[in-house]
Amino acid sequence: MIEQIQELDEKTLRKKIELANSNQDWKEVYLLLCTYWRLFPGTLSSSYLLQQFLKLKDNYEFIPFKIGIVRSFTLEPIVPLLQVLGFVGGLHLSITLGEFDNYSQEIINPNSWLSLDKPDVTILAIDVRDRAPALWNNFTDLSVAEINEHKNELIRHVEELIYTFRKHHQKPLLIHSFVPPQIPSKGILDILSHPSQKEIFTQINQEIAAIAKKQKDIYLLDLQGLVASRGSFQFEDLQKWVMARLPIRSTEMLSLAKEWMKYIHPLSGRVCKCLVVDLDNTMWGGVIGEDGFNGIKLDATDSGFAWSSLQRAVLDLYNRGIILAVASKNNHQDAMEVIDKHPGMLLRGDKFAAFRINWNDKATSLREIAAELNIGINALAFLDDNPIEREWVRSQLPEVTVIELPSDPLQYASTLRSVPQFERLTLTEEDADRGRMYVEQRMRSELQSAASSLEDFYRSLEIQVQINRVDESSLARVAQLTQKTNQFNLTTKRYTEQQILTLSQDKNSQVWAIRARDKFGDNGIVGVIITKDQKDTVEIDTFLLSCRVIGRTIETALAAHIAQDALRRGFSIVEGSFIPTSKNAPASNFFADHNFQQIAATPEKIHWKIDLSQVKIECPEWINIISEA
Amino acid sequence: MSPSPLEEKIRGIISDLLNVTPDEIQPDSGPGSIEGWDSIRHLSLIVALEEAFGVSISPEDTVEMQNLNQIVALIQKRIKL
Repeated sequence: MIEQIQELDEKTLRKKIELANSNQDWKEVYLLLCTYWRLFPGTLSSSYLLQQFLKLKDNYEFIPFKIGIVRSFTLEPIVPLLQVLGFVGGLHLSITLGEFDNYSQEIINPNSWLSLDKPDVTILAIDVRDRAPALWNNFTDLSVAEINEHKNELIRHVEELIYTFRKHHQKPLLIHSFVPPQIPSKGILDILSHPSQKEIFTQINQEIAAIAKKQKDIYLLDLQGLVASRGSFQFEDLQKWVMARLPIRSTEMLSLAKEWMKYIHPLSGRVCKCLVVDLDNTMWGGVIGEDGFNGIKLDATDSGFAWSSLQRAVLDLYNRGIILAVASKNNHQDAMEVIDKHPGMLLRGDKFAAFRINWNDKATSLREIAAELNIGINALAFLDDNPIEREWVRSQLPEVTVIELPSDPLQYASTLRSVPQFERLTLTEEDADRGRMYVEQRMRSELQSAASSLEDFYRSLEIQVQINRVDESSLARVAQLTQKTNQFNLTTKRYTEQQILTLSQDKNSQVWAIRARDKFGDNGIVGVIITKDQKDTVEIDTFLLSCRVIGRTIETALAAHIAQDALRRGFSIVEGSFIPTSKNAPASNFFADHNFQQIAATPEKIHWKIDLSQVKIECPEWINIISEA
Repeated sequence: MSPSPLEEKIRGIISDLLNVTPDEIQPDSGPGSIEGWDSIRHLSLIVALEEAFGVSISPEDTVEMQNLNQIVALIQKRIKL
């Protein structure tokens, strides 16, 4: 099959695409177009591919996303490249390019096409030669004061654009940073002098970044970094600049389009949440089943450098909140021995949320992993050194992002780091913990299968539940939970922070924050209980639990707490309602399960009551409750 | 006289770019005669030719790109250099 792939030339591919089109085999058309792009990326194939994708889009699912580009220089030839990159990545990009060097007017004018089109992201590309040419051309003529004047004018110009843009548009803005000439006007003196040309540009970009940070969703694209990584003399094209005011070399336009895609993927939500990795010759050099524990290459200082670097790249993704899993055709024991014990292994078992180490085909493994982790197949990315496995997965699961690896293992790490579906624009604490939380979930499930009874399982979890009155530190989280929790929520009442604060200060109502911990980790604040004292009864106004902790009898511990608290304060009757919604079926049996009696029922609300002088609610013995009165 | 492989390849590039069939592109076809062959498409054509043949097309060269014949001749010249 490798030979098959290599023999594909453009003519053959086009014939296959025509055939697939006439057979209306849309999945096959999509796969062939992606293969075509992979083998022949660039302007040459982009016209043909774009035509084909535009025909396909009515029969295949793509996520629509609008891009607006305002600019000071020529960018027309890059548009088809960006569109094809979008389609290959699962996106239907609608791209509008503003008029040549008209970016100022288009941003400042509240009735420009930006307001009519409302792009999901706007890209602002200004070349310094178009706005502050003195800093580029006349640097050695200028006095220090003049240099600073030009610098400040440029910064103020961009600042005004940012503020005006924000005034008229709420969507994200991506701004190209400014790039200095590769050879400074002062030669090697530049780095020794004040002001240095390179430093001035750095200051300009830093100031703009600071202004952007104060706003929401304004990003600075590191164009200087891109040019440096590609090589300034390769990236620039003076002939095109003179000919058509296009500063970028033909062969480098794809690099800029790919850089834009690093923002477009996270902005559009078209990202991968989970990376599934192969093991042999991917996570280490060699085949464990053949080369043995001491024969595989995983030494960072020696022959294992390539794979060690790749593991480091994978670990960086884990720290970014990406879930990791393994799909390997191997003897389970052999593979786990390397993962658990090999000194070169950076990624121990506790980094992976799912394992499929068996002799099944990889598409099956990927499907099982997606199901086990409860995430969509299109949220998976697959990393395997074997082109046959990659082709197999692509053909079976076109929604999976199959990462194309070059033949040289030393390039594996940088290839993985360049995958745009792993880029993120924010990193919250919850994001950074995500990989770990999925791993902990796996460990709990494993324990459950090993436990001889459900009770033994619960006991082995060593669950600790902490019930505290809401205070300043938990106020925000408590309010957020009332707004976000839909499944285990008896009444689905939404509260703002202010409302929770008011309730907490009312002496006839009680607001509790529920924290849950077990031997695998701390889940944080996962539940909220609000009770209100009526004349003779305590009413359960709110009872909710995050879906992360359902199914561990924590609900019973909380019900017992409500009962205990009511009795302590002299009430023997507790009442509550279940208000059914399309999402809270998981909570519908709560009252019945805890010996409440149904006293009234309408389609909108079922009312329940318990008389604690007749019936008890006991806390399960395997749960340790820490509570304050 | 049948067209050379070079001419065929260039014809293919232009036909993809302008979304016309290769037959519609005659040796004397150019920006004047084919609809849609505007200055933006012409720039994209230059980009595509540079990519396809690994050559560099200068601003002066563009004067000699008024029709298919001229383009083929130019590329031939550039490839030799």
